[in-house]
Amino acid sequence: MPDIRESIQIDAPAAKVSPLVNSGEGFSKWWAEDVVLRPETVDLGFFNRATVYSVQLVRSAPSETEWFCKSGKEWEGTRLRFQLTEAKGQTLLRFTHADWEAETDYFVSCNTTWGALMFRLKAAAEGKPTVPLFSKTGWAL
Amino acid sequence: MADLKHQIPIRSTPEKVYAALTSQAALRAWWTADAKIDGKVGGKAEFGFDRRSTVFRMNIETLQPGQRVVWSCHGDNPEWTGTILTWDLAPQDKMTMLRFTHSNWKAVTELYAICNSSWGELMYRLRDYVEGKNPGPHWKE
Repeated sequence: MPDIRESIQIDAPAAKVSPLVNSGEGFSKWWAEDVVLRPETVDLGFFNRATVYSVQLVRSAPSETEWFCKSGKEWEGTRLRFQLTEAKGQTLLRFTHADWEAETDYFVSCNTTWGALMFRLKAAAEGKPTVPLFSKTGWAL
Repeated sequence: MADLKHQIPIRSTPEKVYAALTSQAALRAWWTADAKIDGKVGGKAEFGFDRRSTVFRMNIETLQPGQRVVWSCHGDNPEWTGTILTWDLAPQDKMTMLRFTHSNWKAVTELYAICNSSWGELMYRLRDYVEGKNPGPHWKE
């Protein structure tokens, strides 16, 4: 099964990165403005909810957080894994969007978008001004 | 061999996207302020990052206006040597679909994942530049 792999060095300790990847509130800082918190799951809405990804938190530890995707064309059944390795106050974030059924055009598009998202996440963790890549209706400017 | 693949739709013509990939002034406006590029096949391109702490050196292999640009990479980083960068442009639904491949990596390494994330961010900057949003270069010196 194909996986998307990203990696980024963040100039902040893991304790600053972890809250951004283990909660819906965290996602709203860098990923999507339209976040609805439900018991055990988070719904993220894109393009006026033309797409909604419902993700369930399955593991949350200081060094690793994993979400299971319960909805979304091609996303259902995939997993989002954020692994944090801290050294000298910096954090290496390794991200995997695992268990895609096939390497489709949408897989490639998502690979590109995850790259842009990693830089939004980095800016948020480093306390730099940023907004989520996706507004409620489309792309952020 | 491993390939990094990206794609992004751009609200513009293939000719304008081609110009953003082949004009030195354009490359300096979305990728790195330290960009030099020749205008012909057989010429060279250099992209410096972080005050030339890293330089990405290319030979220009193919220039097909409005359709395709191919560069071969010969350093600096040993992992980049022998890799090929291919930019394919095609009209799609009144937009341009940009498909990019950074191919021939010898192995899937940490740098491979780091470059994957950077390419994702750069695709968004390229899109925003071509769409007239003046994103500025990702590397400013």
